[in-house]
Amino acid sequence: MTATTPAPARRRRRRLMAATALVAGGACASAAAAPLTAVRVVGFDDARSAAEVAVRVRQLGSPALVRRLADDAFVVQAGAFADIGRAERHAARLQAAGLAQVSLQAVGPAAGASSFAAPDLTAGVDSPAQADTAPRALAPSPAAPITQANPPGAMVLALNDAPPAIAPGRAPATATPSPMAWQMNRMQAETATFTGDDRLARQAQFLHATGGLVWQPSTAMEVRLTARGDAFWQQGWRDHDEARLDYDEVYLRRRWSSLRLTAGAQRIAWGRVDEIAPTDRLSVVDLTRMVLDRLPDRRRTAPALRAEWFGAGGKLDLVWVPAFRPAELPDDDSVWHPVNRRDGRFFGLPRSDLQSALIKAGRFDDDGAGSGGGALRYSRELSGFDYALSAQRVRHSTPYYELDERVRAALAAGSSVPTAVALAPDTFVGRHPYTWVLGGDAGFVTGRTTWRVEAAWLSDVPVTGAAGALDTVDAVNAVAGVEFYPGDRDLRVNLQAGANVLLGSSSMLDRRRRYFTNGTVVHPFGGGRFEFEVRYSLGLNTRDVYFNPELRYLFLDAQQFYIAAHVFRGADDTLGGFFHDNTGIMLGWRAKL
Amino acid sequence: MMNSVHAPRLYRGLLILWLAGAMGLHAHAAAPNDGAAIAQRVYARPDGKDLATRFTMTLSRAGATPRQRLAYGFRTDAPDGGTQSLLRFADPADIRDTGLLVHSKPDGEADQWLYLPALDQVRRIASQRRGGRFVGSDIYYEDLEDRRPERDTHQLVGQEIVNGQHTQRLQSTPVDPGNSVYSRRVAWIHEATLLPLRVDLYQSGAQPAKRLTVHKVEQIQGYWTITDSTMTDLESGHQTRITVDNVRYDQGLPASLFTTQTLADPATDKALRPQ
Repeated sequence: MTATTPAPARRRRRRLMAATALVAGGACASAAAAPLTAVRVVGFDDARSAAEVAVRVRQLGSPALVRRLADDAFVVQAGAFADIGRAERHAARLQAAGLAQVSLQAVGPAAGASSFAAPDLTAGVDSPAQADTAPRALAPSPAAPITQANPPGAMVLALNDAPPAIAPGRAPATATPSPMAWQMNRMQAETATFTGDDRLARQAQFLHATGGLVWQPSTAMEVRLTARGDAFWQQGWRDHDEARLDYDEVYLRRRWSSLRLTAGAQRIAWGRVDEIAPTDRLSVVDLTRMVLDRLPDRRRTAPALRAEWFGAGGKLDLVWVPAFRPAELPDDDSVWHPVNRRDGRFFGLPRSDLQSALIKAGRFDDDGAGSGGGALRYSRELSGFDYALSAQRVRHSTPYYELDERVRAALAAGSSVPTAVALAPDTFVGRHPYTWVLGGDAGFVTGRTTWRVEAAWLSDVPVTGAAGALDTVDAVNAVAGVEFYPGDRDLRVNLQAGANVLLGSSSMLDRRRRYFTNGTVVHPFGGGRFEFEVRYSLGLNTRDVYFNPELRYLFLDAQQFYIAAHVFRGADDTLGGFFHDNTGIMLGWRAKL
Repeated sequence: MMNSVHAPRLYRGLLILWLAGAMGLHAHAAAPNDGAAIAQRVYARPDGKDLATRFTMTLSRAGATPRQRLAYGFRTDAPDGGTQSLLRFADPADIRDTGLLVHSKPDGEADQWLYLPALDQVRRIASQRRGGRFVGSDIYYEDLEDRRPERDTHQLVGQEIVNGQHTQRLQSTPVDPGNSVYSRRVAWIHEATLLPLRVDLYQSGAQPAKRLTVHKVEQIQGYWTITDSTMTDLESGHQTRITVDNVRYDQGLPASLFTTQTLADPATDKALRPQ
């Protein structure tokens, strides 16, 4: 019969033997061990200085542990020894290497309870080529207990030669931000070459900057004073250059625990789906570059008073727009204007000879004066499901052009276009009728897929009747979208399908039903240095194609170069058809500071 | 513009794995000294009732200018036994004020919302994403996950010295290979602090795909915290280093910090950001 030692006892014995071996090797101080002699490099006022010396100590083949003492001084503990002779020899070796302030200190069980030191058997950070090189194995030692009573920062384990601090490509962020800050929210420079067969312009250039002051004297108060500047050049059918200055966010915001009030020019974008949210009716559309920019850059601010109340698990958002702001339109000669004066066409309507003659000969105005209306939205986030309901009495920011009644009557009576146009100061007036919008949106997740749906019923949507007069009808807009990551990798896909349906039985020139799909595919690659994005929009019941691939090179932080193509194809009364000749290649730079 | 923050999985991960370092090594309690027991100790390691931190993420690779992201993270234990986290990016400008709110439930499910400042909109995003790189870094979303104990089997495969520290080498293999982008993880657990000092992450084959290397651990308010570490893509050499500038535990962070109201209003969490 063989006598056996119980397993726990075996483990205790192994651990004790290992601890002895490590201590004898100048390796470990433990609460369970006898009093030791620690070799310490002393005289540091801060952890950084101590850590730098710890790196040097390790380079000498010694363990090194940075410790903060009770008087807030820092030391580098270069091992602890049961044999004082070994400790003295180790100290002498460090002194010989140029470390002046080396001392020996007795380390009792109490002090040893929270100290660790072991020989540094691995040097530096493993490189990829050494990926499969495991650290050398040693016999186990007793684990030192955690001492929860230590003051903040009492213990520092400088574990290896950390990579040196990396100089970033720009100035690092300030640690203590000022309550007042200047921000440059967007800068962009772009040059475009149009390739359409019958293009209005050969080339165009664009410069943009948005920035200003943000002042936040307290959490409760915030003031924003930002402005934007745009410059456009165009060469072609009609040369055109223009510079514009405009306000951006100019508001005063006050916060309480469950209420936030904002007064001033602000950007309000409701809705949940991308690009064409049916309930996004408060925001002011920026048409100066039509669809070239991403959605956030295609919205302007508008003067409004907004109250957001948070409570009972939801949010109630109330908005009043005292002064209506119509959509920002490009210059009349811009290739992106929704009225093509060279060819005599309106965006959204089919071609006709009469319409063409009127546009070429006519004059245009806009009735953007007056109030913008008001709206409310209730939103709530539940477990696994978000939703919102909204009711709005607002005005369409995009103009719908109405033919002057005198001109229309004259034409109906048989007058020529020049004669009819002469009867009114403005041939067409951009209308922004009030509309009721009742809508809702929801979002939920299944697995790794996010679903978003949104729909709205709208009253008083302007259309052009068969006789050329302005009429209004009800409409329903609906969009459903899905966002997912194929293969659970970096590629992001967002696909949407929707319908815009004009209700009522009256005859009209406008397309009564539009079914479409749109989406975005984004693929970062090259270690995050590059991004390839494709935006698209396709008509499902008519030929309407917009395709926008873009390759970006992200350099430094928040700056990028890009090359993009914008391809338009389609029937006359569609986006793709109207801007068919604006198909082109864009080279540009974007930045945010 | 340039907003690549999508569906990040914060959970306790970013704040515990990187700042206090659990690395998803969790298991049922088991017999002493086996892998599951060590994993359980790691999982149960004290990490405070709440946490606020400021950290810098540096993305670098040879021949390229490093890129830095400055962010603030908040985490608290939720009344239902889960955790709630808020991550706010402060720099660079293209992701400034972008925020992520995560409500992680005890059953492993989570609600996540992303705040996009350009549109001033909060959007729900999928929380079960595991692959893909978090803000273009070498950190996969799964690396940030509070991985439940029962999802892996754990095996103690050795005891080694890493950078002068005694560690237990622990191998964790997913019970269901479909719920992890990794075929296995090998972690070198520092016995005294219960933090991993190194983690090798395998995707296929015998060689690790990525490696987490811990450079510095500090005891802050009694809690051991990883304050400097690097994740390396061993194939490309691309590295993501996270350095913690400041950490505060147990401040009694208000519940209102972890709501979509705060998520959509970056100014409201500024007062709680450690500088």
